[in-house]
Amino acid sequence: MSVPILDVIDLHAAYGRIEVLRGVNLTVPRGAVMALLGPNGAGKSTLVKVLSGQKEATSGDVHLAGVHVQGAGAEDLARVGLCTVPEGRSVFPNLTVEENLVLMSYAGVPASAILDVAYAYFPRLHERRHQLAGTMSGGEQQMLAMSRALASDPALLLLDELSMGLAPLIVDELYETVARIAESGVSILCIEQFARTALRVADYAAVMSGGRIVATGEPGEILDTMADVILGGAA
Amino acid sequence: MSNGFRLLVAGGIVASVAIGSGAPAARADDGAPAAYGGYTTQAWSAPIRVEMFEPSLPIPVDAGQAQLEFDMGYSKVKADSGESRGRASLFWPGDPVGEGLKTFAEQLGLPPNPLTDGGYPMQVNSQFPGDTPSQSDETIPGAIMRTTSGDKTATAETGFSPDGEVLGPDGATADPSKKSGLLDLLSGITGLLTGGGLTGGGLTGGGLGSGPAGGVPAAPAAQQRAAAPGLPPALSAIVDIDGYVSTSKMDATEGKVVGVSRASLGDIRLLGGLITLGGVETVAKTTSDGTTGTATGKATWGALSIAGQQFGIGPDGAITPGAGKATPLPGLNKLPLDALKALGVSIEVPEQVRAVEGDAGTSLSQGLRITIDTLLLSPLLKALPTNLLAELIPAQAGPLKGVVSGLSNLAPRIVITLGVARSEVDTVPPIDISAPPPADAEAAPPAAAAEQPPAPAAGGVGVPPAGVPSPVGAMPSAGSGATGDLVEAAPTSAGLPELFSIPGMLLVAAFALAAVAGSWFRRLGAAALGIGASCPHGLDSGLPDLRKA
Repeated sequence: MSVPILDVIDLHAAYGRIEVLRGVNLTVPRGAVMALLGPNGAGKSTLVKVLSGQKEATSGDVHLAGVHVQGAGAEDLARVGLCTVPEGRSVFPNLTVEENLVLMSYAGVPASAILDVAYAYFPRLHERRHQLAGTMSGGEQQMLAMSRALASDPALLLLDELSMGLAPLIVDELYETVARIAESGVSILCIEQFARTALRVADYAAVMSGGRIVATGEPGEILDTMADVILGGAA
Repeated sequence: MSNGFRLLVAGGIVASVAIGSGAPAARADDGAPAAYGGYTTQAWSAPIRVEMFEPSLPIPVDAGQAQLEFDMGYSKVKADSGESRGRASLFWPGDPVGEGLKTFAEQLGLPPNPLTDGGYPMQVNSQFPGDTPSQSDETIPGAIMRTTSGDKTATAETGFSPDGEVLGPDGATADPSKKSGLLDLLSGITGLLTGGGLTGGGLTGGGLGSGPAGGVPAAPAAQQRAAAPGLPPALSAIVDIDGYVSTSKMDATEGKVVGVSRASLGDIRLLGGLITLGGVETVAKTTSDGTTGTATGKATWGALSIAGQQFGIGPDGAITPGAGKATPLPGLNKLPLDALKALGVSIEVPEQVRAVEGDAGTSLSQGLRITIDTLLLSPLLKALPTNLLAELIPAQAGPLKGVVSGLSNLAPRIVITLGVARSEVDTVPPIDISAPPPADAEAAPPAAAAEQPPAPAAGGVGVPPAGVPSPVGAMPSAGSGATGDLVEAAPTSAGLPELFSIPGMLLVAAFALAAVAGSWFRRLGAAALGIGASCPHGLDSGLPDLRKA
């Protein structure tokens, strides 16, 4: 078995005295799409922050491609190929689509290559290339955010709440693109509430509740227990 | 972004605008350029809006937004410089469900069925440019759903009216040729007096306003009132009811960008509009001309209009617009409201929003808002036999079964808004591309030169007087002649940098070198302290390149 691209062992993290992650164990195989599901407050977004270097863990280990990573900053991780698409998209609203994309060329990738990749995955962005990003719909902004992530040539992509605030049809379209990105060899960990849509493109899935991973397996197995976990946890 | 790239983008925009359409996007019809380069506007309204806030429902929405939403009558237009869209629906279940009913059905585990496979059925949509510039659905007599999108215009309207027409968002008829109101009635009476009678074009024919049967030629088809299928057109001239109406409209064809929406509930027009009784009416209107935005609107309940004079009934009583007088209604106190609050029901008048920021405007008009907190009713919900209901659902629809089972644990907060209309508009300034000056402009002598004394006939470098041919090969003699026309030119060669910048460069280089050395020593120190050692699981520590690993 090959070394997983991400291996999280007994990870703990807290906001002040409130412990949010209480021993997370999670493995993402290389080249796989892993869906991380769970109700609000389960700790999914906190896990993403720790993995992407935006928040320090209180204890536990994170292994990337078989190497123990400790104290690395978000910019260091992005430089080695771990890229995060944060919740809320965070595009520059006062810049056009093209300017948002060209900004990503500071990392060394030619602007033309960034634009080619973005427009190939999302033809709608080409139609909107001169439009201010802030005036686009939520789905189109999410496409732009994903395009910016792809510009960094990621090996491991963390997608936090891709469907937040979007119409289900748009979510479907975005996940079809996620599947295409995965086919190119990128490993993806997507945090999602829209469970059924995410499970459709996922190779593996995990359910998080109360700061721990409470179930892992193939999408079909998780689907059977998903409703109990999500609704049971929220009710 | 480099200046060259900006110019390239700007040039592309200008070229596409100039080539793609007959009239530039930001140019008024009279030929004067508008003060904006692009715009975005959105207007929507709903006479009755029900929102349900229940975070445990697995529907992804932004924070503070309702998980479920129902709009009785919904119209929306959305446009920017590139496209226009419109939507109208008699009953709209909110964007998540309305736009993704098929996906929701899949999420709930329902088997494929014709009701959900084609998307939410009760809606019409238009888009320009696109293959659906106009769409309407009026299969139910009196019920209207129609929308049209065009170049810099879009309208959407929905509602119920016996004559098949509703008032436009700015209070005027959406299509004056169709909704004639009082004039229609008068023309009908004229038809009667001139011998048309009720039988020719009468109650069952073309209607009172459709012209008499004999003598006077019938009105052109385009001017005849469009009646709802199955309802006599003459009925609307006497009594016309707009049960609930939602209309939205945007227009940017005349230089100014205008977005306006209107929602009304229970409009009753008597005698062709001579007397109009309205329940709740909310209007929101925003405009922008590129430099200044405006936001206006109104929210009235119980409006009464007689012969065009409008009255409103607000919290303080009857209000006459313009006069500003309010007559309190006696006998009402806070006791009923307090009693309702004890039951978890509160009624409030929402704050109207009129925000203008430079060229942007936002207007939100809301009528009455009723909030129902069902937490007080939770004991009743818990008494529901939800488990028995869930057992009736087949196992294939597992997620739906889970939702029904969890119903007894829900305690949603329900907010009902009677009349809501929102409009917003924003523009962006045009890109200023100044054309380079013509080549001969630089060569032309400055105007002041004309006042200077003429150059000497020989040995000067000035322009010889017209009609005097210049001698070929004539050279000015050294040290002679005026040189006043020459402009002093600075040396343009790069050469060495000025001396004073070299110490500064050395200082910057020293800082950079110190930073690199410091980083290297820090890493060396960290490795010496064991940070680079293997972890408890026997793996090396470090930061791998995931692309090559």
